[in-house]
Amino acid sequence: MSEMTTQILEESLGKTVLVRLRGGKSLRGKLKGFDQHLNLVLEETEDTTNADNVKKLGVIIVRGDNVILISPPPR
Amino acid sequence: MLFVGADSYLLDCGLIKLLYVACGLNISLLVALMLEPSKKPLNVLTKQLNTQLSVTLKNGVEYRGRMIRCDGYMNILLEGASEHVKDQLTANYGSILVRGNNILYITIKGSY
Repeated sequence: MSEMTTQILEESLGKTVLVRLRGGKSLRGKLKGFDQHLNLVLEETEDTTNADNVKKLGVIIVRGDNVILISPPPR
Repeated sequence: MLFVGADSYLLDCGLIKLLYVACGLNISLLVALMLEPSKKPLNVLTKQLNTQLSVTLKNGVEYRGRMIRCDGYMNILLEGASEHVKDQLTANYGSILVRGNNILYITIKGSY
């Protein structure tokens, strides 16, 4: 993983990020950890795919190969 | 540099100084590791061994069970697993090995 990616994710640690996954799912959760595959640990996660039916997931580990984009919080 | 010089003068032995420096380095490394538990996803997963969790696959199927083994590929061995499609129970298994590449996410039970 490039240094730029690591830096952006490190700055987002402990903050709420939006993650869009392959297959059309969207998640919102607090980023607690990540690795070189873009595997993620998210806390207080919500499945926001369906805006009017948000599903609480709690602590989850997302497998990196599904990640399309991660949107860090605005600074 | 001045400090190191004074130190070695006091100890009056190069080898002892070397040992002293090496030990100090190891201890500080150990302390750093103990203070900051790893938040890396695969380490977080390993900490959940022998607990109930739910594994959601890319095809939408969900498996709930007790994780008794996992590895660096994220392959997971679940014991007493149940299979759910759209929250409907579809099957029960004694144990199943889920190949890591099929996993979308893993929900840690008791976290919500």
